Amino acid sequence: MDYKPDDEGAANMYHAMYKEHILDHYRHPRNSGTMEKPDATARGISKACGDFIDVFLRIKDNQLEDIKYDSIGCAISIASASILSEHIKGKPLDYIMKMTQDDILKLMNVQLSAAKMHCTLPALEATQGAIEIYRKGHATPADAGQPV
Amino acid sequence: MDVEKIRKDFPILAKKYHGKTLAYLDNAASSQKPVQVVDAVRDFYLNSYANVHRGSYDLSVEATEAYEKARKRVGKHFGAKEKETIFTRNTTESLNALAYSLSDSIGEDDAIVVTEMDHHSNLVPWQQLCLRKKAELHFVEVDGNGELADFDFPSNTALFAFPHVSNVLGTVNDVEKWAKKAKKEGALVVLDGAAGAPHIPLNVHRSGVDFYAFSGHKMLGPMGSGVLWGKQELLEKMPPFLYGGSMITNVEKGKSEWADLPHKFEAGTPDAGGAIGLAKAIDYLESVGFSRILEHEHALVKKTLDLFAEIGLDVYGSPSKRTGIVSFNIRNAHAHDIGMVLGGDAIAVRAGVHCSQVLVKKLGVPATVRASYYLYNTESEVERLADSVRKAKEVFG
Repeated sequence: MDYKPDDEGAANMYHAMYKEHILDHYRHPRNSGTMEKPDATARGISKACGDFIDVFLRIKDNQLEDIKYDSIGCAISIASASILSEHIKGKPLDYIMKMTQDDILKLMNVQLSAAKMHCTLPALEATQGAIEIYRKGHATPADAGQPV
Repeated sequence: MDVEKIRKDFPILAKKYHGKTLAYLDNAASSQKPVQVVDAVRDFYLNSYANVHRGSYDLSVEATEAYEKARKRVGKHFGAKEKETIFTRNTTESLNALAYSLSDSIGEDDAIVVTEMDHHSNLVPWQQLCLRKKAELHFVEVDGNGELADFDFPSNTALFAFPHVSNVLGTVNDVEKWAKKAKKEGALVVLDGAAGAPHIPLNVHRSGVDFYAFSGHKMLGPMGSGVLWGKQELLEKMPPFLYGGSMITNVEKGKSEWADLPHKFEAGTPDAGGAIGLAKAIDYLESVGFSRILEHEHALVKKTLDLFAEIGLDVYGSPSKRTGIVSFNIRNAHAHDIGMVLGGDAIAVRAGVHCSQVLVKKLGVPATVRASYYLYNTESEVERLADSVRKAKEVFG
């Protein structure tokens, strides 16, 4: 069910953020799970609450071919991971590396309270961290800034 | 106990959020303040304020007297002498100061024992001391009821640190029993009173402990008021943990001599207003009666557990003696989501690990929701809590 505060009309940002599409991603997270032999993996940790997310990436030709994640977190953090994973699957790594928290908030299309803002970060940070690790392991001389 | 009359002393409890009256059920984090306490602090600042222990003028003498009177009042509450009653910022500062000051007496052949239910403030200082000194660290385990399990203290136990009350489960530990057990091995005994002092008065000399620490802000006092108590003969042997003004008698270019207790441990300008507020808070609590307050909390806990059983929640711990704390979860829902839904209904609870990660990990969950009651909470607030949790269960459970 969608969340309806029972005092009519009271502006309530606590409840406003649990919109039906967010709860749908929370209940049925897309791309959730783990991956055998990923090309890159990293853990994102929410410093504020200790919740975490492990992301697993399959990368081909500098594009994100597949993504899975395994997470312990609140509805907002799971929904953000789910929405992010749908959005970035198939996208070039460069595009993903340029993404910011603002991009995620736009994708989520919901107003978050200040206390829940940090929940949207670990999924993106872990993904970008994993890509960085991947790139270090696959650095061409040009990537590494060496003279060709 | 007239709860409605008490509530009038706490104007903040009439505040509304989202059209609903605040239900403040986060007392284990910090309590609200009655006007009497705020007025006492205000009166000090408006009428008696100067620095303490310094001036030759009447106003400074007045300020010093007010501060020392507060020390006497606070110490009397838990059976301590003025010399043994050291004002600090809070329990955390008291325990860190203690771990620092005692560090020379811990060596690599020693063991320190803590418990799985210790708050980080009574775990991390000892853990870090053990790491620095290569000493052993042992844990008394928590059993399925949320109580301390039997434990055989190693013969090299130099120090045992434990909480009077668990800030997550509300478990009340038998202080005398545990102090006696640790003392058999010659250990120093440190009691964290942060979650206990607001609910259960302790007589330090009867308790058998050597050190006791608590915070004023959890027992109606100001933020920034805390106490470290230690046995006089121990405190006299211990080095200061802060150097500076007020804690010396004689300073030369090459050496210094320390002031007598308690001033040896109170370097710098103290939070005299905080101490005065804490003394007033204790006046207030004693006038209501600690045993009446605890009885009231028990009634609220019973109602909570009955309603939670109807809803079908995971409730953590069923200790035989407890304060007004109930930690719970909705199966498959994250504590933070439950906390947010309750927050939206103007119900203030804590969702998280409660600065007790060792214990919450043992419970096998990432976090819990904690409702914690005090003298001004009502049965109708408990009903609102249950109603809101029921709604959260429909959404997230």
